[in-house]
Amino acid sequence: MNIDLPRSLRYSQADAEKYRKLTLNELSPFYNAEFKDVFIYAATLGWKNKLNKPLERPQPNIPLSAFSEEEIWIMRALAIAEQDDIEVLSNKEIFRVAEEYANGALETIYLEVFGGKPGEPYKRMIQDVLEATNKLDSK
Amino acid sequence: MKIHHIRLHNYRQYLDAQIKFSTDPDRNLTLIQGFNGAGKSNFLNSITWCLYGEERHLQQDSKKNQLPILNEKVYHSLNPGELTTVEVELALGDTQIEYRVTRYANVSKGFDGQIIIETPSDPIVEFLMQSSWHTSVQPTYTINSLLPADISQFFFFDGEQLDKFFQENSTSSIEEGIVKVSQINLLEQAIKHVDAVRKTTSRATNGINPEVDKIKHKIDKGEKALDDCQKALKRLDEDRKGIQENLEEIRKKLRTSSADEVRALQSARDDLQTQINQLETQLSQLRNKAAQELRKTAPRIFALDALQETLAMIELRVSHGELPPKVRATFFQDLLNQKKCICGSDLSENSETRAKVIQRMETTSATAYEDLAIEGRYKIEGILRDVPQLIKNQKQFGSEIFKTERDIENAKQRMKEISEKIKKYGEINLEEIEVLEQQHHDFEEALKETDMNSGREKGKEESLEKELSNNRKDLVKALGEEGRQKELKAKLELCNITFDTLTTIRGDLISEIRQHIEQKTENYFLQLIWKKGTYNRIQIDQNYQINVLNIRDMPSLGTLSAGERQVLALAFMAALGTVSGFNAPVVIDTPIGRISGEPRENIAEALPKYLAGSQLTLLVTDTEYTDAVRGRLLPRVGKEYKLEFDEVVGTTKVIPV
Repeated sequence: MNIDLPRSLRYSQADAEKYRKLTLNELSPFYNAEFKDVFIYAATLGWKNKLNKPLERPQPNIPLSAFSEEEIWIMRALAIAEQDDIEVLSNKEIFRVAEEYANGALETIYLEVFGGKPGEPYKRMIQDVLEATNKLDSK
Repeated sequence: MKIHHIRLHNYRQYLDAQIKFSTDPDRNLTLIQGFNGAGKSNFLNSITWCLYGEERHLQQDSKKNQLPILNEKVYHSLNPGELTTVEVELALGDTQIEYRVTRYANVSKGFDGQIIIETPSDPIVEFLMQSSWHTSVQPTYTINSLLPADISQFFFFDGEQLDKFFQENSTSSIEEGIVKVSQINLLEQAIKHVDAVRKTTSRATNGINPEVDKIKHKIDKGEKALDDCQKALKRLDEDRKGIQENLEEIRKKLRTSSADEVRALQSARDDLQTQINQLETQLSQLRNKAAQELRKTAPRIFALDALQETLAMIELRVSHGELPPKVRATFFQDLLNQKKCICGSDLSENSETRAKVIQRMETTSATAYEDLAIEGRYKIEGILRDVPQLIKNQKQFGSEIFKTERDIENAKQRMKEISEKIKKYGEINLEEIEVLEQQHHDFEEALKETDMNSGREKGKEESLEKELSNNRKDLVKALGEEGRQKELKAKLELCNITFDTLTTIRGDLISEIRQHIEQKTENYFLQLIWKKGTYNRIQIDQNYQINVLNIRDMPSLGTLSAGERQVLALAFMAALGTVSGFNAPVVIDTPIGRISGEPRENIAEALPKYLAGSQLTLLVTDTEYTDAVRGRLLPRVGKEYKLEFDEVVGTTKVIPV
């Protein structure tokens, strides 16, 4: 029996401009990428830093079909781990968890890129990933 | 659209000449050969003069071209008070002549010996309809619908000028080409119109209430600041071009200096500059790739604990025998369809056993996560398996970036050392060199400052636009919901939405056309280039920077030979012409004039394939039109002419070959 999936994932209406700027500005590591790339990055960063925030005036603007199967499974894993329940897989609302984490972390990414910190944003972001890897290794 | 013939009367070198163009689709190449000064460029000029009233390919330094448009021989033989005409006629059409465009100028000699030229602003355009000829009441409109003036430079062009597209600072010419070909004039006009309506409506809100006045004041101030900012950006852009020209002029002088040492140092500096350009492009590619890897790696790393927990949960259920599900819903559905159970019981409609099977199936559906969990187990295992490699890639890109940045720094350091050496040489031996090198240094500094100011102004422009957009929205909010205010509110809101939508459409449209041109340029380039298997892709990025990527996906524009660059330019022009949607005739003056030897023959070999579906006319010099080149072009030549200039009488004869 198939489980119904939402056609699109949502972000807060007020964040549309941030998504746009992150994918259009050369400074950004998301330059020339798609909104879904920003979304999945934000969702997982939000998960890592526990930054979930309910959406305001959500608009369903990122088609689920834009995500790869792996990315969909990453988002499912966030919901399963959050609720500590594997059976959440049959819940149509499973991606709400990813949406809220993405909503919470988008501002962090936006400030990382356009906040005027010294150095290049993509280098700092790569450094964050490598540091997260080192922490995992040392566990 | 094809040119069937051109007729020239008293036009520059041409006293009376007629040239028929090849309209044969299989041999659609017309070749016109002539020595320098025989009138090739003026032949191209005659076409643009006839259609658009402009001679776009005049060589400013040529004395001949400072003469009036009238043929020199006629010019000298004209008596005071005598009147004559200069006339060019073009016959256009697809399979037959459908349009005749004639432009003429009245020329008379005054009694003081001065030449007076009167050129009517419009040409005469006649068109064939229902077997009879009619005269267009709007000749410029008719011509623009056939071969638009704005984009005609992509159909009628000088091959020797093409290189400028791909030199430093070429992005503005590439952008200009793409924007022109997009033919978004109507959209531009609509944007301007909506903005004008918005301004008028906004003015009408004056004095409505203090809050509205306050916001309105902010908008006026913002608009003024944005206008100043955009003007400053334009000025900076012009300054940059000027500085670049000055720098190039100085480098040219140093390259041709009488001192061997200075020439060698400048040559080393040129090589280093090429190397730096290449390294910088390489660095930008590496950054893009590293960012791409980051987008792939980061979500996997950040969610690693969630993925591991999920996998552990699934595996626990598997170890408890809860997964995979023993019976699947589809199994029951199959039994119901067959109306018979595996034990042989009847499952036909309304039977008691059927009801039991349906009930069992529904219970199974409620736990449909089980199938998905099993699928997830394999997917998550795959994701986790990829992580070490992804981390390795990320580190690898990091070290490549570090190395490239270091190489650039070293090359820049060597540039400084060269500059010091040139200056020192000047100090000891030649003061002029010292002065030139100091100017070189000053202009380079000025260039850096201009770039920095441009960056600053661009940032300012962006924040002003944002602020203005917010203030415009606030103005709408501040207006009341009744009477006149309600009307203005609705009007302003509509203007804001329409303006934003049209601007977005404009951006999206240009971006789509840019990608289309990128694709077409790539197709033409890979088709024309003789080094098969060396190059892989052409890129025109959002900043209109063009690049050729080799098969290892590394940028190679800086290493292209002059011949390869010419092929790239021809490919780009062909792409612009094709994407414009006008199947226009293409006329190229000296297409391979800057190339010599083998590359020239390679281009000649490729040229018949160039724009195979369009009518192509090449104006070639005797030096570029060697026997080898002729041999390669001949299979596609439908008409061939030689231009012979008679120095004594000052006229050119067109001789069919």
